[in-house]
Amino acid sequence: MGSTGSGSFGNYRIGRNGGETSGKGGIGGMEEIECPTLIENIRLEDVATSEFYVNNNSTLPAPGTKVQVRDKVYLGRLVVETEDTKQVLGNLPTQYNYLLTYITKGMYYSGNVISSGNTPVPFVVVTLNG
Amino acid sequence: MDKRVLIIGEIFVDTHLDIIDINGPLIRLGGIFHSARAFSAIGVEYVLAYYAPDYLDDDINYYSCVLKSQGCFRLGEVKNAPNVMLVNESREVGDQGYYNILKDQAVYTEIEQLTNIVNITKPTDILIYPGRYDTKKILIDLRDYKGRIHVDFHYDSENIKPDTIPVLSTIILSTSSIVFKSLCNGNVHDLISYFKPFNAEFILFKENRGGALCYSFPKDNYYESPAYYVPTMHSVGVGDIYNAVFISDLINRDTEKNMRLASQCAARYAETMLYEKFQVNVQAVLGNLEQMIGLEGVRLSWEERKIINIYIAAPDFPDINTLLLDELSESLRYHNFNPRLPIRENGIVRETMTPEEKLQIFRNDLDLLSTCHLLIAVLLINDAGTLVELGMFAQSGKPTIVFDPYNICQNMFVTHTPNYFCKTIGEVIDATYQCLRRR
Repeated sequence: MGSTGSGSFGNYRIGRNGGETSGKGGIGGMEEIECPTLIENIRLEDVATSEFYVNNNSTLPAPGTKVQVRDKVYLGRLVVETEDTKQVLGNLPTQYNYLLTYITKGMYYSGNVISSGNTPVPFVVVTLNG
Repeated sequence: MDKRVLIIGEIFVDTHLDIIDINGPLIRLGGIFHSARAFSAIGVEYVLAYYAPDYLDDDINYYSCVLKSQGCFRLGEVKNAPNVMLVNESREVGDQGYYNILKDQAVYTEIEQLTNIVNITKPTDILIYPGRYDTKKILIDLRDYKGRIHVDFHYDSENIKPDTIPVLSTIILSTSSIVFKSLCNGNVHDLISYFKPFNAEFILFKENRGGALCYSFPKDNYYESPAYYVPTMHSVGVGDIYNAVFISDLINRDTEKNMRLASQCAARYAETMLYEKFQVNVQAVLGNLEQMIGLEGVRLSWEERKIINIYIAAPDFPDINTLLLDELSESLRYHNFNPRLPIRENGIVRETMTPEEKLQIFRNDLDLLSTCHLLIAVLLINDAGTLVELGMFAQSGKPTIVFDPYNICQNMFVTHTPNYFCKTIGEVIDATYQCLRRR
């Protein structure tokens, strides 16, 4: 009768996922977290008080407008700005703050406005690529 | 003088039953090795003085060299037990289910004089992780030590009393510490009172995903720092990373900044099981220090969470499998939130009830809804009542989360209404902190 198992220290190999998470509370195999290259449909925060909205007569950029993540923290937040005018559209939700580590290592995040509007409150949704 | 930290404690074999690679469950050296990885990554000199079973000696010596320790001393041996720590749930969505195999028959024997190790290595700081070895003797042996002593009161520390020990620089514990839960009644005020006789300089209280609090006894002053959310691979040893970075005082006596730096480094540890990746990312943090510690994070203290009511909208019916609902509720309670389950509190509407009785339950549920700060809709089945509650709560402007573990939801109103749309309990817990963090 043979056995399997972790043969020795130092033989951890990334690769095989022990199973898809199937809604069972996240228990299952896990893989190394990789640097994200696509983050879709991010609803920016604090749009109404951000530079673009304030300086452009309460207007917002149309879908398709090119955007990027500023490589410097602004008032404690990672922010998304228009690529051409570099005006802040809104704050990246804090759950994406970890991207700063990748940005520090040279990653550049850019993308497009997916949708924007004023109802019920000013909003901008973007998709970013790394 | 350059800092050199002597780390005292046990070494375990952490066995992650939920992280399976091609060789099986992931194993790596744990216990004081977590702190060792932190000191190595931030470039602070350190020495190990450990308790472990014989069979681990070669691996401990080898990996202490890989991690560039300045010395590795076997303080004591552990017999009759392998010091293998099974970890059932690596990410601390709820209780992690640590199981120390054969711990009850372990025998600890000191084989080296601590004072000899101290005299040889001349540490500026000593970081002690109490275990079931004779921690009291360790502290008595350090009565004449003139450097800074930091003690982690997480495990096996209920019997450490102030009368026979040297003055401590830092007392460290967390919300899952037995001392905090049992001896300090789970509240910060009692925690401060309990440790006042120890005459320590600081008490550092880590509140897992809600950040941390540090109290200065001499200044009678509080410092706080947020936690920094990352997609988490594991939470094992993350607190030890925090400890190591905090006591290293890399940002000269600036307590709050040192806490924020510790939090960022702890987050880097949680992202990966690979030391090399951790080290590179810690160096990235140190290379962009002001920005990294200037970031807003999640600050939601243990005590703030207790008064937060979370409405759990779900088909909590007798004929429905509510296992995931129960697990979610238990996880929320583990993090000190207050889940409110309307059917269990107000009752279930039955066909035999009068219209007035049914209306009363409806009103009671609405009252409960209005007292809650967050709603989590759990889609165990496609239940109309759950979705109506989601819509009503969202209209109040308060945050909502949808938990859709079985991929039931196809409707755009349901996917776009909540602040977060989650597939696992882990995601729900993370989203809960994001929704409720201090702004």
